Amino acid sequence: MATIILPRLLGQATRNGLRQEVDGEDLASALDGLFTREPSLKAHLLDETGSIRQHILIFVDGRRAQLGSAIESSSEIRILQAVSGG
Amino acid sequence: MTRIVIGSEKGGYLLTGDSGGWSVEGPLFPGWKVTAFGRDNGMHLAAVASNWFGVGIHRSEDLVNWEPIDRPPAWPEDSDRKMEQLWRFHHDGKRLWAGVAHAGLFTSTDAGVTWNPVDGLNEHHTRPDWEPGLGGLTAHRILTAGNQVWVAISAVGVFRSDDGGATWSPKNDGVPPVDSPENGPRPEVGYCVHGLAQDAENPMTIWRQDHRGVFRTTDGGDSWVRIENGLPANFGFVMWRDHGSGRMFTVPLESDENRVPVDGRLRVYLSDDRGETWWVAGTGWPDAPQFSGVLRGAFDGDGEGRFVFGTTGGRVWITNDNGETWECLEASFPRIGAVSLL
Repeated sequence: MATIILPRLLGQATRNGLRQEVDGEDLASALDGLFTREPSLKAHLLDETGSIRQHILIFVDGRRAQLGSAIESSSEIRILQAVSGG
Repeated sequence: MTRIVIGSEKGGYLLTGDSGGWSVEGPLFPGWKVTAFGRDNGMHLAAVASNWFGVGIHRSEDLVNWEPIDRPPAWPEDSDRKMEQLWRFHHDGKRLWAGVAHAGLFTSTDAGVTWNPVDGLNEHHTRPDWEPGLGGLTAHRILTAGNQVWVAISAVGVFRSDDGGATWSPKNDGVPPVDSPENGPRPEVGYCVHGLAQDAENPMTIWRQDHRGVFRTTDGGDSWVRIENGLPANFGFVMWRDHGSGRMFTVPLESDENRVPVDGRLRVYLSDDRGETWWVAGTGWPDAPQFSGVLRGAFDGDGEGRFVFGTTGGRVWITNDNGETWECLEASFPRIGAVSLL
């Protein structure tokens, strides 16, 4: 199973921690699996149109990923908040 | 012993104490902007927002252990609206209401677990003309009395429903539009209400801190009249009525362009004659200049003489004797946007 690593700010929005195992052939299906287990994360990671929020970056095995990006069972999916002020 | 919860740009904080001293617990939701607090019977609610991660609602029975809800209020996927922030919770005895930005109302009948849009307002025929102000396009104040509901939307105006939220009408006659001369054209929307306070015994009497001044209505918003006698400025965000005494509280700020206390003198102003005349509240104010303002969600009272507000400079002020004496807590916090007395 692939591993999703969430940013620390989402710690209080999860029930199962910041590091979670997910199945899926692409990033979209992996996130769907995460949202089934952690419904509150959907509104935090996707915008009203179902796209990745503007100031979130997702990397799969070190490469910038989109919802259609393929993942493998050994993949590491790292979700980052963009660097911005405040 | 008084307990206060404040929401700031970076986290929420629980304050417990009295004139002998205060303890601070927190931050709750570290790193998150905490935008509103509410209560539905025994359940506490906190709304959070983030530039990165949008809006969330957390529930707690003890203010220590918080659980996120699965689905906070959301706009339809095919709309062009964004859910930027939850500004206000309001419980009317049966339903829990939430005012949000982009402006709209949602209600819950299960203590905030699930939410339904109030379509009569959210899809109002005037919506194409709703334009955001400096604070965004926000539904930030909700009043209820029986089947009547009032909502304040920044840069749009006050709307009233007489049928529990099914249908709504703008109620701004007597208030100048935010971007027109005093006696200029009167569009259906475009009135920038900042705060509302209601007479619980006579709910058709409502006080209004508006972008363009301080007003009162005695007919539920059908007509508004200015009440600014004694105020050093008519701009601000605070409007509060202590229900037990009928005393009014407001905090004037210099102007739209310069949203700080007039001459650096942070002061609450009071009225005991329903807003006809205002004067500086009590004692305890500092001699040193204070250039921090008070935002529209950053105050609360218990209706029995206790009133607390937080400033954009992160300080918390409280009176326990209906405004006669004031205390500033020693602790300071990030910019305060929400205050709730527990």
